[in-house]
Amino acid sequence: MHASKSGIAQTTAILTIVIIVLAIVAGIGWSGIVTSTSKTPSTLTTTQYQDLVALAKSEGTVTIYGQVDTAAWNQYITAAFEQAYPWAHVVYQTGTSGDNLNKELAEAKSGAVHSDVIEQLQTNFIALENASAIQAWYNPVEVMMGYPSSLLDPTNYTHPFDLNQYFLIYNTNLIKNTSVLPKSWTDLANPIWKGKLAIDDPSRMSATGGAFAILRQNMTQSQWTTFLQGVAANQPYIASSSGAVYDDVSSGQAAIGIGATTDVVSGLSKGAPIGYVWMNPTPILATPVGISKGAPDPYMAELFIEWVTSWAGQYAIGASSRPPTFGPAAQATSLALLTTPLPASYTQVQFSNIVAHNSSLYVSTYTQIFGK
Amino acid sequence: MTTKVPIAVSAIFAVLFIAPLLYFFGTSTSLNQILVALRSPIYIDAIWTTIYPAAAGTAIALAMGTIYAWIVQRTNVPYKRVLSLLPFLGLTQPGEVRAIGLVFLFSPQIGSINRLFMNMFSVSFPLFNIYSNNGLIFAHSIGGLPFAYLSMSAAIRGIDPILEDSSRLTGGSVTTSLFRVTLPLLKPALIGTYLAMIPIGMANFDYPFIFGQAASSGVNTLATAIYDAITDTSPPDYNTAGALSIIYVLIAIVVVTLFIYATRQNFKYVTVRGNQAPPTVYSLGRLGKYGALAICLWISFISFFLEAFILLLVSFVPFYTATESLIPHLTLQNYVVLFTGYPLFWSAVENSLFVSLVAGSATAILGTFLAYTVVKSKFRWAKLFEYANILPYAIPGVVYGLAMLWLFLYTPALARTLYGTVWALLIALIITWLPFAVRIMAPSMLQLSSELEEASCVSGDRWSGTYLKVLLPMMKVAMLASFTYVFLDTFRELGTVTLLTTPSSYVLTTFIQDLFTASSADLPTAAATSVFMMVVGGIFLVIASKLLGVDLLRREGSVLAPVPTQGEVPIPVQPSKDTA
Repeated sequence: MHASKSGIAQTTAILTIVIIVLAIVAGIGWSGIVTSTSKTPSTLTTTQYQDLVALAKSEGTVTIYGQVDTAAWNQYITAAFEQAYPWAHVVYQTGTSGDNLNKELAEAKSGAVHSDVIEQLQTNFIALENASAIQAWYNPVEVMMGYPSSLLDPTNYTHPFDLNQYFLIYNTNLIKNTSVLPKSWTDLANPIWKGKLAIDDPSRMSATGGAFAILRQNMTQSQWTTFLQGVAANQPYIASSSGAVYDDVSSGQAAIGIGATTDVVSGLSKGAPIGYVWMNPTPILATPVGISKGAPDPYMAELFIEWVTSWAGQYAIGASSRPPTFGPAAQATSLALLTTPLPASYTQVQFSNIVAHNSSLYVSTYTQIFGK
Repeated sequence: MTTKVPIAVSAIFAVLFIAPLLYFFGTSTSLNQILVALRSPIYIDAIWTTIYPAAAGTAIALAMGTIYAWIVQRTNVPYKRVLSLLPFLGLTQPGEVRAIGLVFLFSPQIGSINRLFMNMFSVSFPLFNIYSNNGLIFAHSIGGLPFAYLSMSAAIRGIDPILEDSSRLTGGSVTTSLFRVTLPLLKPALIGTYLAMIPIGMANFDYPFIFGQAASSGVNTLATAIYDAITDTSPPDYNTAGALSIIYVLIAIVVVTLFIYATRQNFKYVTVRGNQAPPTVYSLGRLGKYGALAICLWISFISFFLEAFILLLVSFVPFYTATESLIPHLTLQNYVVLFTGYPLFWSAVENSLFVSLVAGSATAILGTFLAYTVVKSKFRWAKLFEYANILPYAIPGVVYGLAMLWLFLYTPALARTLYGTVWALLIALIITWLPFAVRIMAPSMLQLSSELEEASCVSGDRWSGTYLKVLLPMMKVAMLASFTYVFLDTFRELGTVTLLTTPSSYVLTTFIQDLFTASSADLPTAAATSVFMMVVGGIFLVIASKLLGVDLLRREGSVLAPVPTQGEVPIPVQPSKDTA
């Protein structure tokens, strides 16, 4: 019996409608799993997680550009992730924050993106966001873990990784009487520290640039400029990074400096003659992670970030001597070596929020005064 | 004589030298930005700090290198084979590590030499402050010694001894012959080497980067200013970096123009001919030869051994400090961890050796073509290659590295095939170091008389045959010297490779940089890696010297210059028509 023309047309119409509906549903579901930027319930259901794992497994490899040294990353972070997911392979590429930023921007511009995950300074993520080199993605794990909202990115471009606190460091062989040490950041302008102070280049907007920017919030422009000129008059060693500042202080090149908890924790474990003093306010700088736009392995990127923001990932970061963003993990690992904890009354200020969109104002002042 | 092959090869590489930079300059900056930079007091000061220490340091390096080369090549100083290796030991260390080593010696606060001086003489001022322009001059002088020695060795070895013998025969002393015959004959090589070295010194980044950290030093060069613009600014300030890089190029063009002008009468200095006699070796007497030995050892000590020793010491401690004795902290742990605890270390060793061997070989062969085009060919635009040749080493490595990164990423075919592989690294290194090979071989090429080629041509051979049978054998020593130099320099190169390195193309210099950026910047392990590189480089030098040394011994003359037999007269130098 031949099908009538009207029957064929009817069947075709029904099939077409079904396909369209399925496509719409699949599209909603797809974006819900992969690229949803809207808030979803703060629970990660097993079904969603298993979907992500299955999709990630089809990719298998995640490529990460970061600044953590390769040995520490491979020994602690890669090892822990690959233990959790034995089928996964991590390709980690290290570099300085500046070198990596140049590479990330160039890859994004050319469309030949090789990285899946980027670990960068918070301040550099602004440049990456402006260049459309990273993509927003909602990470349910960071909500489940209960990170403080002040440490989360409301736009979902970046996700917690590690967090450095900066304090005053000093050489314990050069300074025996700790009562002479600065009590506040403004004491760095005291002429007694002439030729004895090490700071990282303020125009990099890292430890020193950030600490000075925080002070500006409670000073007039004139007061702030006078303070900066006082520090410059002390002819400090201007290092390329807080790690280099640590080197200057531990070697005895400088007696005091502005250093990072990461370096001090690592140095103390080796028996270096280094001491530290917490200052109020305490500058903090997050080094978050984000997903590259156009990442070759986006599901692996998401799986990795979900893992690294979980307790297991944060603990692995802490085991590598870097302070993870998640406070309890930090206290249990890297910060345990600091016998004098940060006083509870001290204010922690994430200076990247201060300088976020007008860093050029600070940079031009620093360049003018410090000549760098 | 048809010379299409060398000209074609030269043209290809001229394009490869220029293209990345043209793209970089074209997209990153503007004339207005250049004028802004030239009006900035900070950058004006940086220009001066770039030129003056490089020029002064290079002059000192050239003087040391020439004295050293003359002693080794032309006197009966003992232990020649060992002495001929020592100037190259400085090439076995990465620049940044060398700079840190100098800080450990001459920092006013933590420098070992200064602390020894202050304690011995009970004074509060240091003997020498490395954080100064004088420190930069000192670093340039010891850093430039290998290139100066290499260039002048080849030139001294190439002098026809008949001219010096004639001077002796007419009653001239060793000193008279040196100042009235040898040095004038070396004039183009001296000028050429000096002018070739100045851009290298100006483009150096490692020394001003480390020494400029003391605010009182005043050491801020164009290289560090460019580095700040590219890597210390967010987003990177390509406008400023491009403007400052163009200033670099302009300065280098001026230097090369001076070079071309100074060597335009080069035909008068041709001395290597078909009937070359062994070079004269002067007897200095017992006292004199050990005095000459002491001079060479002193130069080697201050240019390498002093700083190598401090790095060796640092490699045996868990952390470096000058505020307590290091002796109780001595340990082998850094080496144990390096050899057993870093899986990437051995793949970095493998990649470094592979890349350096291939780059050294490729540049030695390709360099003969470019050197021939520039020095010997009648090609009307040959002098343009002279300018193209300077670009890769007249620009700081960080700029060239960024330009190469953009070249690989923005050329779709290259982005798909080469980017992220060791071949990208290799191509970048060959392009960067080929001009050095040309610089090393050009003086030797300059001294080859056209009679040799003309004789081959008259015999019916084509240029390719002349190249293989006449030119290459005559250039063998220079090629080996070039291979040695480029191998060692690519082994320790960082600026060009840092942006192109991937986990699969990890090399030792990026491994060391990794250690510097680690928590509490693992200086002792970086020092241990540097010591390892020194050992590998030293072994390579010994092997290379055996290849170079065989030729040296065959051409070694008698202690006293032979008296010509009747009928033999020195061949007068005739102007050659084949040079501009």
